Amino acid sequence: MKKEIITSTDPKSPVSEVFRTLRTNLQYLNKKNGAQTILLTSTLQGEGKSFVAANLAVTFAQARKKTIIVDTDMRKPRQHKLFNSDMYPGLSNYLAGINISRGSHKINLKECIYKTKITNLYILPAGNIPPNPSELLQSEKLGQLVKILKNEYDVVIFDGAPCLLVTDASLVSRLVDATVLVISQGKTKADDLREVKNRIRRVGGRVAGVVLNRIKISGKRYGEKYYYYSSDSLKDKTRRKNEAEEDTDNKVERKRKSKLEYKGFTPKFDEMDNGEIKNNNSKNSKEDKFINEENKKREPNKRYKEYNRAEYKKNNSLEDNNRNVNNKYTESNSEQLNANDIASGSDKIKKILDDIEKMKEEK
Amino acid sequence: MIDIHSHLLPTIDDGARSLQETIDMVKEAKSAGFTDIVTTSHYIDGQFDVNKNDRKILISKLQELLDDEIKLHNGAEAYVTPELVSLYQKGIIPTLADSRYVLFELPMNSDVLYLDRVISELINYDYIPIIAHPERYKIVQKDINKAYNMIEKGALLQCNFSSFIGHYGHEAQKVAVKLLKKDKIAFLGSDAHRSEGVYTRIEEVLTKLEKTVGYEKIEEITVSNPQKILDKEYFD
Repeated sequence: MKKEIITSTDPKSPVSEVFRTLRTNLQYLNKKNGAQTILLTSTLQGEGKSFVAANLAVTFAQARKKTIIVDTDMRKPRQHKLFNSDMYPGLSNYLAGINISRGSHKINLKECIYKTKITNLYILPAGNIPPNPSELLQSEKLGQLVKILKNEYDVVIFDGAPCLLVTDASLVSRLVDATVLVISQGKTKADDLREVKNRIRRVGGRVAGVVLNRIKISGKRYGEKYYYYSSDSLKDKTRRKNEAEEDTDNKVERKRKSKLEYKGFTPKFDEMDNGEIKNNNSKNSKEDKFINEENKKREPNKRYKEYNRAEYKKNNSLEDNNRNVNNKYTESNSEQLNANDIASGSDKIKKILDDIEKMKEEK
Repeated sequence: MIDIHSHLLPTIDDGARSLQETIDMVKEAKSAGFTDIVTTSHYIDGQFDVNKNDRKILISKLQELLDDEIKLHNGAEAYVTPELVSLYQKGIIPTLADSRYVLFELPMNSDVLYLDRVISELINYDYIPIIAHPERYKIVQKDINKAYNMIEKGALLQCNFSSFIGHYGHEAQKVAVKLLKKDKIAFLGSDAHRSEGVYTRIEEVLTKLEKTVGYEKIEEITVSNPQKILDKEYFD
């Protein structure tokens, strides 16, 4: 699998996080079921459709939705490369009803759909590059295909061709629940985007929203530096800091500056606290009064300690026994722990348990 | 002290990478003054999704290996989803130390539109929601009222030790100090992922915090409040 499928290779990265948010937003688009069929398209090529489509599909699959990604970009197909599947037979073969490799005129949908390495995720690749993609997508067979896939899968993601150049994507947009436009910062033109939106609306498609891709990350400004989960230990970080210090005078100066800022910040809070005390002594100036009132407005009256839980009976035990539920987890809960009980992620856990046993013996 | 947020179980999330690292971390935690640790490996559906029972087995075996060096408890840091309540109810995600307290995190960079709903659902089902490291979320850094709002809705806040020494940047440090001074923090946790990490710097943080808010407050959020989770008492 390619590195670009970042949601699978690095699930705790900020990028994966954004895809999870996108998934939830699409799931809760409508009050009923959310969008089941989603098309990703853009104005021109190279804005990140395939990247977004692939990662979005992975994120849906990770949420235990049976997901299929359909590559409708029959001019420059990419999904089969991202997921390492065959390219044909695929969509074009199915729509045209021709299986070139076998030279036969009978083709069945099952032959065109491939499993990926990710559980719950399937792919329908583009197929042989046809001379007439627009005509193929215009055929009624595509509508039927969407219906079949809708019955079979929880989520269907379509990776489209760029919308401004060819009609392919707008042809697909009339058949799906939601169309998402992928645009890239500093590249996509507002007029183009407007044009694409209008085109999709004209054929009866629904634009769910826009994904802003390729945003420039200003990781270097102090205080905005991106810290994520401690993938390095603090020790590593300080070592790196020391190296950086030797680097340039610039950085040293920035550091000094930030120290000044930090010094400037602490007294501010002291002032606020003092303000409250002064208030009690009725010696406060107008400014203090203002600060106090602002604080009162902003803060909820309840401190965390005073949060009212009167409605819960005190006698109620706080023991978590998975109350009100009857499922297998509860049943096995009361039983004695046994290594054979392990249900999921078993290999990994068995390995750790083995390690533990080994270490015990060594002891 | 009691640590209610740690990733020391080996290899089941992005925390400790080997059993040896787990053991090193436990030793560091012990010398930092911890007596109990709630292991809260991530729970993200489809990615880090070792369920409650598997964790329980793992912890009990690990406890045998550690003897009485430190007491481990089951738990998880869940990633917020609209279906969070049902995952706890079904017993897939463990609560903290088999109590009704649940720890979950939000996305770092984006707002969660359904957060209020999730919190109120958890409370309706008699869970006590704890939000992990609010100081690290961009929405809170931009507007600290978001954190106050979480408290008003009924959630408790857990800040990280290392936030106070700038491990997550100045913004996070500022927010954490402010929350502490305004008495909004219910718990401190280590959020330790690695050995030679935050556990080796606890002393430094404690000295610093005692100077700011005094010994009693720190005792409250590192010992007596977390003890309520272990004793399965209400928080009031």
